[in-house]
Amino acid sequence: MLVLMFQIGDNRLALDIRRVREVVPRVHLDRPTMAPDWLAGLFVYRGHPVPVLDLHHLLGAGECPPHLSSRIILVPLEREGGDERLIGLLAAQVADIREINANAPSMPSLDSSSQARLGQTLVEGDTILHLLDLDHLLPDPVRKRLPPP
Amino acid sequence: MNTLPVVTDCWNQIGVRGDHSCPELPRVVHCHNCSVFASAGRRFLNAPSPDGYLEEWTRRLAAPIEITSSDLTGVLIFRLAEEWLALSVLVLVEVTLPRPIHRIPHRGGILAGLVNIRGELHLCARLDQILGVDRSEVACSISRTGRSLERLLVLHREDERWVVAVDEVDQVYRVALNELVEVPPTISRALVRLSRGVFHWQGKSIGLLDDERLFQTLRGRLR
Repeated sequence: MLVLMFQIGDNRLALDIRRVREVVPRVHLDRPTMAPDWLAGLFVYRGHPVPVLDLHHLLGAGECPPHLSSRIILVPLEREGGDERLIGLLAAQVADIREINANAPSMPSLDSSSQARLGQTLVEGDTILHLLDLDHLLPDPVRKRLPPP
Repeated sequence: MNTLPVVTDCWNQIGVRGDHSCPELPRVVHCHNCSVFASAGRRFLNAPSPDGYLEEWTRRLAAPIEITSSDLTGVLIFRLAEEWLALSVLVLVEVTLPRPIHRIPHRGGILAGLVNIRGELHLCARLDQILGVDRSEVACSISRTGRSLERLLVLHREDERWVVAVDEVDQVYRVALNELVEVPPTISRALVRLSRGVFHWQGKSIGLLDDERLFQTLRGRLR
C-alpha cells in the first residue's frame, strides 16, 4: 500500500494515499472566535471554505512546528446522505510517500473510543508506524461540530 | 529515517553538478538517489517558512482552477535527426540508453535487428526510414558533459512491442489535441501520412505522430 508519511509529536503516521485529495502548503487560517482548539481555522480553497484540523491538538501533542514541511493534507470526508466535504489536516514532516506492507505485524488501536484515535499500529523496518484511519480519527463529538458544508 | 549530517553542498563540488569525483557516485548513479542529498533536502524543509510564503499560498489556493482545455494528452517530445517529433505516452513503455542492436541475417530495410531490453528480446525498427527522415549526415548528439543523447524508445500498443532509436529525448508535455494544426506539405510524405498534426513548443514545430498508423506501418512493412 502506498502511504503518505507525516509526523505528529513523536509519532510517525501514515495515511493511505487513495484517501488524499491534495497536499498544500500551510496558509493563513481564519480562526472563528470560540472555536475548539483542535480547529486550526478555515481557509478558502478554490472558492470554497475548508476547515483545517490541527492533528497536534487533536491528538494532544502540543504545537505544530511552523516549518516548510508542515503542510495541510486535504481529504474528502463522507457525510451522512452520501455527499462528501473536504477537510484539511495540519501535520508536520509531510515530505514522503512510501510503499508499506499492509500485512506487516500489526496491533489494533489502543486508544479509548471517546478520544481521537491514531488507528492501527504497524511495524515498518525497526520503527512503529501508525496507520491513520480517517473514519475513526474524529470522535463523534468532533465530527458533529465540524462546520456544515 | 536517515540522519546523516549535511556539511557541504557536495553535489555542486564532487557530484553531478561538480566534477563527478565523488566515490559514492558510481553506486548511486545520480545525487538525487544519495542519502546526503536527501537529508539536505529534509533539513531545508525543516526551516521556518520564509516571509510572504503563507500570504502567497493563501492567495493562490483561494483562486479557482482555470480550465484551459479539457482535451489534454501527454506526449513525449524527441528528436530524430533535424525533426522534432512527439508520440503519445500511452504507447510508451520506457526510454532507455542505447545498447547493441543485433542485425538479423538477410533482413534489412526498416528492421534494424533485435535488441535486448533487460533480458527480453525486442524488434528494433528504423524510425528514420519509416518517416523518410535522413539521419545519416547528422553527427552523434553529445550533451554538455560529453555523453551521447541518443536513446531507445520502447513502444507498446495492444500486443505489439517495438524499439526505435532516436537522437535526443526532451520531456513529456501536455498538448491540447484541438490546438493541433495541419502538417505543412513541405516535409516528407511519409511523415505527413503518419502525423496527427503539428504543435508549437519552445519555438519549435513538433509533429505529433499517429501511433495507430505508425504501428500499422511497422506491421505492414515488416512482412
